[in-house]
Amino acid sequence: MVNGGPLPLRHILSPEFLKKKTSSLQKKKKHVPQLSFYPEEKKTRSQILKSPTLTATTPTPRARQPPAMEDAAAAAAAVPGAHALASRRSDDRQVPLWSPGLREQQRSVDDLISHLPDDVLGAVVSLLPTKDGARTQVLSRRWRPLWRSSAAPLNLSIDRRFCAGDARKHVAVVSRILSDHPGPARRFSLRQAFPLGQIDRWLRAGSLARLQDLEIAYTRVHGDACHPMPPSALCFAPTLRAAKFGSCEFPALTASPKFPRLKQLTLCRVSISEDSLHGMLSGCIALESLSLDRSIGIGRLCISSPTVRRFSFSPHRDKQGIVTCQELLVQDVPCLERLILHDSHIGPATIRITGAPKLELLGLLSHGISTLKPGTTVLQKTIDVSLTTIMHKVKILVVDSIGPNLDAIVGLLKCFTFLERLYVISHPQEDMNNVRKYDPLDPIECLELHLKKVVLKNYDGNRTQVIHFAQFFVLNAKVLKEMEIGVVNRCNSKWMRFQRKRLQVENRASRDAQIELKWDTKKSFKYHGFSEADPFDMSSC
Amino acid sequence: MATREAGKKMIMLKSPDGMEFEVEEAVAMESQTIRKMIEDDCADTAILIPNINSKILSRVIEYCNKHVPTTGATGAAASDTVAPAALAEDLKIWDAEFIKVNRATRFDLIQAASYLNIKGLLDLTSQTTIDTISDNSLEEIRSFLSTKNDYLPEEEQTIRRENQWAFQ
Repeated sequence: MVNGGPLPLRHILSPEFLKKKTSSLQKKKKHVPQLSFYPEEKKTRSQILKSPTLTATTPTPRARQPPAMEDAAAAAAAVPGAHALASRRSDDRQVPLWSPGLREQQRSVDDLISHLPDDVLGAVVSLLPTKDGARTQVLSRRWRPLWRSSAAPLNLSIDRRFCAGDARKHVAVVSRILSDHPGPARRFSLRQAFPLGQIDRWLRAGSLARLQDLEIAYTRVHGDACHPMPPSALCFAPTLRAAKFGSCEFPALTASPKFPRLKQLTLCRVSISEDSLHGMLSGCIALESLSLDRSIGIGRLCISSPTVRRFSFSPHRDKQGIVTCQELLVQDVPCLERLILHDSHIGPATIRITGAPKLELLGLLSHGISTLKPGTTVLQKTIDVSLTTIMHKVKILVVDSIGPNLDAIVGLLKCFTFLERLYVISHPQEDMNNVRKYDPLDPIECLELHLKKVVLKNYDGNRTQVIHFAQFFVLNAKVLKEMEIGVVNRCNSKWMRFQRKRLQVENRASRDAQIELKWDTKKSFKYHGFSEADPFDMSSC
Repeated sequence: MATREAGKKMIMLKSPDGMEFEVEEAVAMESQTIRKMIEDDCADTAILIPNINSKILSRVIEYCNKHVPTTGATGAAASDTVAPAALAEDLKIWDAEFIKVNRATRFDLIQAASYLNIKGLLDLTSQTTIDTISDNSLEEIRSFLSTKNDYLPEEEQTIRRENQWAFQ
């Protein structure tokens, strides 16, 4: 048989082949439940298996399609904005040797995916993890050349899975993959430590030229120790679109490289000087997403970018547990939509946000921040909020509240007038008085018109101030759709009913609100990354 | 036959089985292939889309209609009231429903997305195949893709030996 080509037609239509195919399909049927076949496919397959003869001269019913797609005219009518002007029905591809009905059947039995062009199959192979991609060579002759071809841009990820067993044995494998592939490369990721000279040789391979996605993120070593950054890594600066560095030590950058195309930058526990970091960031003129996680060596950080849309930050603590970064300034960021501060209970002490007119998501405001300055007004411990500080665009707010402190949160709500989702992690404290009367003459705009979801963590039903805190939202959020209360107490349904009574769920301000209490041991919200519409929402997980 | 309807430029797309679809230019330009044709002024009359039948083309248009960025007078108003995050969430749910089609249709959609160069649709349609191949045994993958193993046993052994690291 000719290498890689489809099976000859006469071979496909021969009774021997069909018999073999049918029996092999029956044999493989036991795999069906594990794989996500759709009901239509099962039916199509069983219809075909039941049909007594399958020859070119006996047309059988077309494979079942979804009802809306049965008729082309109906399909066109179903498309809003598209008007079918003529409905002459004929098959699109002329297959002279057998009827369209048989063609559909043949397509169902036959290898559908092999008919796709090289670049489409190559794209699939390229998106697979490295080992899975390489294994596609064994599927059939059609698949064999793809993995090592330019149709499937190289996706090489040298991680723990790749280096199962002795990592040193894999040096030759990596070198061979890099020399065999003609390029281009989609992604190069290194998560295991190898000798620096070896890594440098890999990075200079021709197949990695014009690399767009680079990750050099080593597994954490003891304490703050970092691996040196391979010198060749920064040579990709002109072409990179996404970069991640972890547990690396950046060299002192005298002349910072320019990253004209970089859109996504993640630095995780890297050692870098303040000047080098600021220089590097000023060279990222297209940056949209920036994540700085426990960067070592930064005392004062200033983020100012006309393009950044998402920024997350968590501070680094030294061996004594002292936060090294004392001040974070986020200024003149006209495109910033999301600002996420992890571990903000430990610092940095001062966070100043100015010139962020598009900010939609702000989290996690915390008691650890002694000074937060959005706009020009100073917020002390996030409690004394000036009414002049109004952040119109923020839709999602995540707050860490000691008490929980209702007065502080109400103060925040007055600032965030268009808030739709509020997440609160409460830290119960004894002397908190949360009895507060809502004054209808002084309405809070977001409670009246916008707040649709409230999620409360660490609800302790034995503490009156916690109950009063939650009750405030039940009784006053007029357009609330859902409220999730994570209960820390071991409880039964009778206790839950009692809590609902104490919260006055029956008297809720929004009759449509679903108020759910559930046992929840997780003390804080899990962050699901920038790609999620609401990165703190658990319902989508 | 580019026409105007309510101030929006319309484009005619024609499938090889004779169906014609009138769509907004912005919707059609979700396809990079069509965008290039329009930009090169090759789109005065109806654009014939070869190899994509009306059934698949109508679904492709449905996808583009949903994913076209909201711009212009009405679009600006909409984006002021609806958060982009909420829009992205809606689109994700819509995409999940859209891709619930049988296998033959899905492979046709992959091919159409490839030809018309619609990245979002290509990613969406390819994802199921990628999910299938990841972490499944070769037999399971072959079964799902209906791919016949046309290697001789010794040939397969050679390829396995050459790529031993991938099978460990």
